[in-house]
Amino acid sequence: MRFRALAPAFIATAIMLAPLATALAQSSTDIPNLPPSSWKPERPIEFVVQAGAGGGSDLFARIMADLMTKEGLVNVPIKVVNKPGGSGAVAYAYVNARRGDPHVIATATSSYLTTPIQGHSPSSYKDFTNVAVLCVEDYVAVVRSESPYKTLKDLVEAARQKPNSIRIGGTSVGSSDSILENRLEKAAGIKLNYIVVQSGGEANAALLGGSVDLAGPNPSEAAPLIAAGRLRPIAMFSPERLENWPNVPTAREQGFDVTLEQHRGVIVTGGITEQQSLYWQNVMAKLFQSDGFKKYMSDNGLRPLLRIGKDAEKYVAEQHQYYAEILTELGIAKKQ
Amino acid sequence: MEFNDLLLGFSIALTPTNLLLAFIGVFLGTVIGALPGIGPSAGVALLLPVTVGISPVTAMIMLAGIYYGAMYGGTITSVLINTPGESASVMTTLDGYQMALKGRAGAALGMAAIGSFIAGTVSVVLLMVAAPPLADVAVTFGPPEYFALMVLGLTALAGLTSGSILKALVMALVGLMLGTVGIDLMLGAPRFTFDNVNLLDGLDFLPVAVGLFAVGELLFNLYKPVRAEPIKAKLSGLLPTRQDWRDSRGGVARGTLVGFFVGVLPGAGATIASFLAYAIEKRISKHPEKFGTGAIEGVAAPESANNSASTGALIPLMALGIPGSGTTAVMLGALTLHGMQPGPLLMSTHPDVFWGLVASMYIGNVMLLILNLPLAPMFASILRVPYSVLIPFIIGIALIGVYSAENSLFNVGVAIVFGAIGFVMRLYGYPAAPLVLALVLGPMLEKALRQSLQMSLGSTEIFVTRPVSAFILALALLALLFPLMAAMRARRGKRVLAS
Repeated sequence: MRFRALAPAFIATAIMLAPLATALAQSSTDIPNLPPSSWKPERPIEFVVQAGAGGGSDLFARIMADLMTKEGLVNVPIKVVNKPGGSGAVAYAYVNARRGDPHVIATATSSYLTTPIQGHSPSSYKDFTNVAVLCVEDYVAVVRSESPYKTLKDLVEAARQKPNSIRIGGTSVGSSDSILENRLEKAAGIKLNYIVVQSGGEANAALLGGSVDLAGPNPSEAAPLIAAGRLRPIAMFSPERLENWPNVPTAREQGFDVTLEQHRGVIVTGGITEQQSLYWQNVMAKLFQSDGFKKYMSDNGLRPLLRIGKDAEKYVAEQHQYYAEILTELGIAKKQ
Repeated sequence: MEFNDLLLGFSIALTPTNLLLAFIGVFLGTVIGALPGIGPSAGVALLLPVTVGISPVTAMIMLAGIYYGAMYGGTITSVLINTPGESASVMTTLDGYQMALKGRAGAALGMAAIGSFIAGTVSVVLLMVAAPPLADVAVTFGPPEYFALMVLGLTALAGLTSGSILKALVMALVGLMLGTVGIDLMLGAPRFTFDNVNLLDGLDFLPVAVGLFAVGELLFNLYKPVRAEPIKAKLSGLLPTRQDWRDSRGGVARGTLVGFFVGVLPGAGATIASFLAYAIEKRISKHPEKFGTGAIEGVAAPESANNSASTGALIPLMALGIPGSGTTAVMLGALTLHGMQPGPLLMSTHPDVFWGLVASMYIGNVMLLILNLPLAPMFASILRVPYSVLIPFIIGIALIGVYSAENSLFNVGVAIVFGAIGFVMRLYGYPAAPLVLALVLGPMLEKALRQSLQMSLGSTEIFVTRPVSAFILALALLALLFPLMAAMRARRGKRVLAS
């Protein structure tokens, strides 16, 4: 394993604070000034998705592939290839086998980092060229509308009085759901009963049917059920309130310092030249500014966050450090 | 339900574009269902990108057509070459293939089409009148209830095959063991993956089924030809007779209802529906010994059940935005791709999508009946092709299907390895159906069990204090004791005779 989960604590702390510093220094949507690239694709592009058709990553890739062609950003055909399996391990092993080929790109989200940390993937983020991060998804705490808990504070109070009495539904240990639970337990000093479900859909069903009391989906996953009055949002795990959800207070406001975001980015195979990387950086920066991509982000509740080239590498490294630390604490990071 | 809503639905579904796309959907569905190695979930996923650019309701009409069309098509290879095209058709192999060997493939396919049509139409009526309340009841089914349902399913396993019960149980155990391969859902630890990333998600049903059934059958025929002679059957005698219908109608009715209510549950699905329908039919039959030797109700009941289950599965999807299966998850993605927000408000904010889909399903089921009844004799006459030509051809297609479902060469290897295993199993008379069913049920059973125990913090009381779970477990206990008691009674009877 390449990451340093057991690095001295002070280094970890310093890096932990880094996201804050960069967030202050750099606005989330600044378009960097990039020199044009001398390289151009010579063959069709293979755009690998680390999940099956119909999911969030698939949608992200298909919209991007469509826009890159329509906006004339890429002048060769783009083929979207789904390689689901092993929480990304299958897809990234496939991409890494094509090392040095700038015609192979892939989507990346939190599993891109968390799966290798758990030792389930032979390739890590350092094996690839992290050209761009385009947006992030937030997380929201939801309860069913008949629930006695009106705020996160109510719920934390109940959990304090009776540990393990509140059931929270989320996907497998190591997923962002489980990381969120761990952060909330730590920040509030409580113990929740974590019920592992297989998908966000199953979590929603369990919540509606009363098998669990709380879940932490992405706002877009919960929005229809909230709009229909079936679920109630009690806290947003974003640094600030979301534009579209001005009435939902953040966890921070309620006294629990828990934030979590899941990035959506694009990677290219490792071992490509500077110019080839620059080509993709240019494409991604232009794609980000297109109306089609802005519409996609607002339709799907995504928060714009642009990091290109070196900034993307830095963002990914920071996120990696953050996840590595939590997964080590959860006892599921692979020891070096 | 408003009558006007249905009129709106038909006004949408009857437009030339939507009629055409409904036809394309059900036709492709039939083909996808018929091809072993590619199931409805992969079929819908493969065609999802094609729907970009057409209107959401048209896209849903086509994708749903593929889904329920596949339930019709899945019968074909199960009956003709003993290879299930998707997991919901495993039960059909038991009696369907036996019927084919007796030259009655046309009757089996015809009855499956009629049963599917009745089940499809009745279940669309239920979908239309009761979707929201049914969805609300379905989500109250929690892990303990699913656990009980899976136990009920497993208790029926031993009674499935006509051969040795011991061999069937051994195969079920092997299936359960194979089901443990992959990342442990609760703890995140890899189990039996041997550091191979392709095993992290466990073994897929389709490559295993293609291997055990199709490739295994091929190898066995090389060793000892079962059917050197093509089956001689006249085209005229290939449709179901009046007697067939009399034998099947009870099974169709029960299969329709069982299938629908199991299908509505987001954590169950068409496989369990067809499985329970078959088990019920065999249990209440006056001549259970005929099951497994070519009883037509053994084809009619599970085929009706898997069809109504696929309609039932649309209920949590359309009423709550909750997908209950791989296929409905892809359809949820299709709605999102088309800018909709699937959820409780979808039916009121986009009545055109819901009612257009409902109306198109009436039409689609008629299309499938018209498509499948005349085709039944034609498909059945495929058996006139010499086996040595037919099987390699089908296996070629099946392996391509296995590859394309997940673009995975690894799965092709899995199919070939299980082909060798299937050969040895055939050689010693071990049935494949309990193995693949246990492979599907096992992980669901394990998940439900561990979720339940996590909910109750380790107390097994949770299974008996919840009324629905307690009731289903009591049924499972009865299902276990009933054959034992029957066997004891039969033995006593024999002893009386002997003395």
